[in-house]
This record gives sequence, C-alpha cells and structure tokens, in this order.
Amino acid sequence: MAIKVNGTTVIDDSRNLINIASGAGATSTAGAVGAYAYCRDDSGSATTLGGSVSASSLYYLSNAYNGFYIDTSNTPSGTWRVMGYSSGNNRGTVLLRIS
Amino acid sequence: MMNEYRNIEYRNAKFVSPDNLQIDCEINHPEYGWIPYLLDPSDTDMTIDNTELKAAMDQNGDVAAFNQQEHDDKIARLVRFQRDNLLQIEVDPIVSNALRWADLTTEQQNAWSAYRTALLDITDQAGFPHSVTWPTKP
Repeated sequence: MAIKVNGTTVIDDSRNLINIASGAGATSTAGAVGAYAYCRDDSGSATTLGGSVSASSLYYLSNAYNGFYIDTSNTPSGTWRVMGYSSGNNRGTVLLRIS
Repeated sequence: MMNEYRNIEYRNAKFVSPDNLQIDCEINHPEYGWIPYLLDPSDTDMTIDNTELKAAMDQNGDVAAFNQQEHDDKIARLVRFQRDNLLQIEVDPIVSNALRWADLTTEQQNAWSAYRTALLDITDQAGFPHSVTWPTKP
C-alpha cells in the first residue's frame, strides 16, 4: 500500500521513497544531491553560511596533518550550499549538494 | 528517491571545459530560486534532468563559448595550491625542524633542498599549468 502526504505518494507499493524533498542525509551516494562533501572553493568570491556555489569552482579535498591534498580524479557536479564559510580561495569547507 | 525536476529555466550558460561538455549556468530551481549550477554529462544524479536541460541549451544556442584564459588561470591556481600544500605537508616539517635536519646526511639534505627548489620552480616549467612534472619526494 502506498503512503501519501497531502495527496503525494512518498512511499510506493514497492516500499521505495519517492518525492522526498532534498536535504541533508537524504542520500549516502557520494556527490549526489543530499550528500555532504569537504571541498576547496576556487570561485574567487566569498560565500557566507547558507550561500550557494556552482560545482565548477569546487575540488574534493583530503586532510593532511598540516595541509590538504586535492582529488583531481573526481569532480563534483551541480549546486552546493556552503555549510560553513568560504572565502572563495579557501583551503576547505563543508558543503551540501542541493541540486 | 529525490524529486525529479523538469522544464528548468536557465540563464548565463557558458562552456567551462575544453571539451565543451561541462556547462556552468544558473537555474531557476523550484525550491531555491536562481542558483548557480554545473551541468556535467557524467553526473549520475537525476534530480535535475540534465539531458533535457542540455537539449534546451542546444536548441536555443545561447551557451557562451569556452574561455581558454579563464581555464588556464583556474588550472594554474590549482597547481599552485597543490604545490604550496606539498611544501607545507612534506618539506616544511623536515627543513624547518633543526633537529630532524641535523639528523640527515649531506646527501639527504641536498636531496630535500633540490626537491624544495623543484616545487618552487614548478611554475617555470614549459608545460605549466597544464602539463607539469611533479618532483619526486626524497
């Protein structure tokens, strides 16, 4: 039996979640909408808490004890929300993919 | 499964990869309004119908041309960022630590000095920024 909220099916007959608004933790798939990532923002302009940046300015990062490495073999797509602060030329900030 | 949005409006589209596959633009998102967006054919997330969005762009023919200089500048910043990090992560803990440095042989010190110089000079390489040869850590 499907489950509906305000007339919209949110769980179908096969027990799949559908039509769920995007949000934090909505996916465990790396890089997908709803996923968090730790990235360098190279946009050149500051983005404050909650602002949005295009993935074209982002690089995935990994931490070293006194610096960072960039993952150049994987690149993000879409739109990401800054969940901290980005100076536009920062070493790393946490982002959430929203689109 | 997330919502799958279709018939998305876009504006200010431009190619941002040399192969003209990635397109930077703004989209009028049903939840967030106009937001920046990178359309990437390799994106497996289907929240936005990238195929439909790309088809609309193709039909309208309004995607600005790829800017080689912007791309070169971006890659150069990336290489410098990588270089600066390697200096901080690998070189500084050795050469800035008097006790560790004193424990090295002259040959080892020369190797670290050469490595540091090669990193600093990476922007002088003929292939910079697109084809740089990273020196090998001693």
